[in-house]
Parts: sequence; C-alpha cells; structure tokens
Amino acid sequence: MIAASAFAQSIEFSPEERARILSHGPWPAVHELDSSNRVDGNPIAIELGRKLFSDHRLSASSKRSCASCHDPKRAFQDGLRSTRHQRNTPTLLDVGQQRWFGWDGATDSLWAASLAPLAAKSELAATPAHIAALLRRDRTLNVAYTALFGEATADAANETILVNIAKTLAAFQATLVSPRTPFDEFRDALAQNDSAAIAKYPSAAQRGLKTFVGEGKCFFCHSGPAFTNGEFADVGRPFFTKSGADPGRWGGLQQLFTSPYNRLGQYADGGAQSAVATKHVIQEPRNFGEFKVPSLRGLLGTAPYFHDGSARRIEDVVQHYSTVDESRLHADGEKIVRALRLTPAQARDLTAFLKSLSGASSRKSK
Amino acid sequence: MMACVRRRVWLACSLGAFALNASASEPCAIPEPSLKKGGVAVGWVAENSPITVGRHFAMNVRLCPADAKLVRVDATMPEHRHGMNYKASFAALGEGRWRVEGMMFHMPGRWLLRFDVSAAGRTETLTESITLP
Ligand code: HEC
Ligand code: HEC
Repeated sequence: MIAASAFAQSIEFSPEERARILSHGPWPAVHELDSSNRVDGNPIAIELGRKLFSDHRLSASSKRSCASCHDPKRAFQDGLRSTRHQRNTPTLLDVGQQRWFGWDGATDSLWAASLAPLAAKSELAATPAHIAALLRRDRTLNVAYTALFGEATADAANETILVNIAKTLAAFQATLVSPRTPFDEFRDALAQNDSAAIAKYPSAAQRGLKTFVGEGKCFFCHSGPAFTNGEFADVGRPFFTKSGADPGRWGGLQQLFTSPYNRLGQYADGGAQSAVATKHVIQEPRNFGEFKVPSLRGLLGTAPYFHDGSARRIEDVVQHYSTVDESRLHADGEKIVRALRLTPAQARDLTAFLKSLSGASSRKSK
Repeated sequence: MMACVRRRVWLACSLGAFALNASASEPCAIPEPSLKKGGVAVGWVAENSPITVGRHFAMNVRLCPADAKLVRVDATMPEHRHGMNYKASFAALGEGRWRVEGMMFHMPGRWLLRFDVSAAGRTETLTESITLP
C-alpha cells in the first residue's frame, strides 16, 4: 500500500482540469429506469432475477448459470482471458448505466443482453419449453413470475417467456453498483475546496489524474462519472483472432439492426422515446475493429483487460497507451490516441490513478 | 433593416423582406442567439441542457422565414475529422418550429453544428461552434 509520506501537498489544477475532474462524479450516479423494461426497479423482479442469475436449472444442461462466468465473488466476471468468441467477460457492476451491451454493442438493452446468453445454444441454451417446465416445477419462482407477468403461457413456443425472464435478470443486474472510491472522496473534496480532504489523496494519483485529464487525453473517451462515453473506439489493440478478425462494432451493429429484440421491436416496452439511440445510430467503415469504451471503475477487481483480455495488469494497459503503434490507427485529424512515451515515473503515476478508481473491497484482495 | 424586440430570452425579429414570406401578420420570431445567413435565420435551444458528452439531446429549432425548410442537421469535430455516431432526425411542428432528435456529442472539444436550410429556392448552410468541456 501507499506509505504515509506519499500523502504530500496537493497538486495545482487549472480551472479547466478542475472542471474535467468534477465531471467524473458525483458517485454513485442515479440509475434511470429503463422504460423498455416494464419490470425494471420492481422489487419482485429484482428478487426473481437475483435467484435466477445463479440458478443452474436455468440452463438446458442444469450445469451453468450466468454466475458461472459473471461470478458475484469476482466483481461479476471470471478473471479469465476470454470465454466466448475470444472476448473477455465484462464485469456487471454499473451495467445499468450503459447504453450498448457487449464489447461490440450488439444489444441495446440490458434485457436483450441477458436474453442472448440465456437462449444461445452454446451457453445456457434455455428454450421457452424449458423455462415453462421449470416454472411448473418450482412454486416460488412461479408465484413471482405470475405476479409480474401473469400466468406463464402454455404455448411453449412463445418466446415472450424467455424475454420476461431476461427482463427480471436485467432488473437484478441494474442494482449492481460499484462502491465509492478514493478518487470519489478526492473529487468531492475538490468540489468543496476541502484542502484537508484533498491532501488525503496520494500525490502520485493526483499527478496521474493530471495526465488523464490533460496530455493523456484519456477523458476524451473515458468521460463522465462512469469513465466512459458509452461509445466505441479503436485504441490500437490487435483485433485478429484465431478464427479471423473480430469486426467489433461493425459486426455489433449488423446484429443490432437485424435483431427482433432491439428497442424498436415488439418485445420492447416503452415505445419510441426509449429507442432514440437505436433509431439514430449509424454504421460506418471506421466501426470495423472498434470496441466499447469500458468503464474504468473497479479495475483492480476485473483483470485481465481489453476486449480480448490481452492485458494482464493495469501496468500493461498503461504500457499500451505509452507505446501504441500509431500506424495501426486510422485517424487523419488531430490524434487522440497516440504513443504517450511516458517516463517510468509518469507511468507509475497514471497506474496509481487508475488503481484509485477501485473501492475498498477490490483493493483488499490485491 | 431589422426590428427586434427583446422579450425575456426570446427575441421577436421581423427580418425585413423575409417577414413577407412568413405568414403576413405574425412577425417571424426566433430565440436568440440566432444564426443568420443569406436571408434565413436559425435559432435553437437544447432540450436537455447543458449538452453533456456522451448523452443524447434533442433541440427545439425555429426558422425564419417560417416557411423555410430544414433539410439537414449534423455536427462534426473539425479538428478530429469525424462526425457523430448518430444521424439526427427532425420533424416540422409548424410556424417555423422544428424538433431535432438523436444528436449526441461523444467527445469533449469543439463541435461544429450545422443546419442546412432551404428557403426561396436556395439552400443555406449555417454553422455554429460549440465547445464541450
Ligand atoms: C460462458 C460465459 C458466460 C456466461 C455463462 C454468461 N456470460 Fe454474459 N458475457 C460473457 C462474455 C464473454 C461477454 C462479452 C460478450 C461480447 O462482447 O460479445 C458477456 C457480456 C454480458 C453482458 C454485457 C455487459 C457489458 O458490459 O456490455 C451482460 C449484461 C451479460 N453478459 C449478462 C449475462 C447473463 C444475464 C447471463 C445468464 C443468462 C450471462 N451473461 C451468461 C460471458 C458469459
Ligand atoms: C479514443 C478513445 C479512448 C482514449 C482516448 C482512451 N481510451 Fe482507454 N479504452 C478505450 C477503448 C475503446 C477500450 C477498449 C479497447 C479494446 O478492448 O480493444 C479502452 C480500454 C481501456 C482500459 C482497459 C479497461 C478494461 O476493463 O478492459 C483502460 C484501463 C484504459 N482504457 C485506460 C485509458 C487511459 C489511461 C487512457 C489515456 C492514456 C485511455 N484509456 C485513453 C478508449 C479510449
């Protein structure tokens, strides 16, 4: 841990830097209910979703649940390099804040993102008939389901039952919020000009933060309280996999447009107002090889990093941004991502800042 | 040339000859500050202000003359040579009022907001720089 001597006097921030720092809070952010999911925020749905999330009976084989990969004891991820399509399992903490789901944003709601693994043959492989049978067998589940959606339909081919289960899983996941962090204490202290509290934030983290909101240009994409603009970018990670190239956002949009489960489809509640992003999003050649800008909260508990889990430690991510191959990036204007060529001390500072975005529980385990 | 009356935030402007194109009795009223070029004027306010990086916003737009047509709304980051990840849509609400939906600035920095407006057989492009912190 950081020695007491590291709590030095605070660094000077310009008014511009200060404004940027403040824009990364307050935390926790308010969860806006998802109007495409009429049971979002409903306590019965949250409880049912919580149970089903770890219930192996949900899978056709009775061997798997969501928690097999999104382990609640590991910040709702699995710590493995990649599990599915050579993609790293993302944490589900703060997932309720997102607009697009999956590294490629192939789904536009938390319930559609939950439906995919629920129904996929290679994952839980649950069918409407399988779920209907489970509800017939388990009285507690059935009572909750009926209270929310009415009698489970006898028509076992009806996909609504799967969508409804996915909506309860989503209601549960929307309650998963990452804890406050040393950065949040600093940010609030800065907002209140509380110099004693400001000085408690290690000066290495303060210097790293200065790079983050300044020269490093990290805040261009990792913006706002969740440290993501919710969009997609190419930061120069290789996207070739054993089975070819991962098309990233390009492929995600392809799936989104053709999915019957997007916000413009018949299974979405809430109507057009909840579909603004889906209705207006466009596909462009540059989307090929772009991946979602991940949140940076709770990093200490979510290694490895990047869409393919190819960076083992936070230090490796910093090294990537320090030495990134610029010829790989097709930006013709002013470069946002470029090799920062950090000195070892600067790299340590940026790492210290990134680590300060984790709460007490994930810090303890490291 | 131009007679403007300040009413709180809104400014009622009769834009000289162009007021003739609008319904004859009503002066063409648009919110200030407005953009003016080649006989057309555009006033706009963001519905969910302030505009925030990574959040969708809608705009209420007023055009003068009132029978002018909005033909395109877009925004780019000139320094980074990219546009939005979304294509805005818009609808006429009547009397020169329009509603634009689906705008989103996904990065901080300078955005160039662009309105293409056609009136009297010509299309004008009006732009405004917006810098997000
Ligand atoms: C075999 C491991 C595995 C299982 C089982 C699994 N997931 Fe995932 N999950 C992943 C991977 C890998 C991704 C990233 C996929 C991608 O980018 O295409 C993901 C992505 C997600 C996302 C999007 C998160 C984000 O930040 O974009 C959600 C939500 C999600 N899973 C929920 C669930 C639910 C609910 C279940 C159970 C029905 C489930 N997952 C089962 C591995 C798994
Ligand atoms: C152009 C947008 C952009 C900029 C600028 C940017 N990032 Fe990223 N960041 C991303 C994207 C996109 C990913 C995921 C890339 C992938 O997996 O291929 C990412 C991934 C990360 C990760 C891994 C998180 C995880 O959970 O896997 C960290 C940490 C990170 N960035 C920190 C930074 C830092 C520090 C800077 C500044 C030096 C920075 N980023 C600048 C877009 C950006």
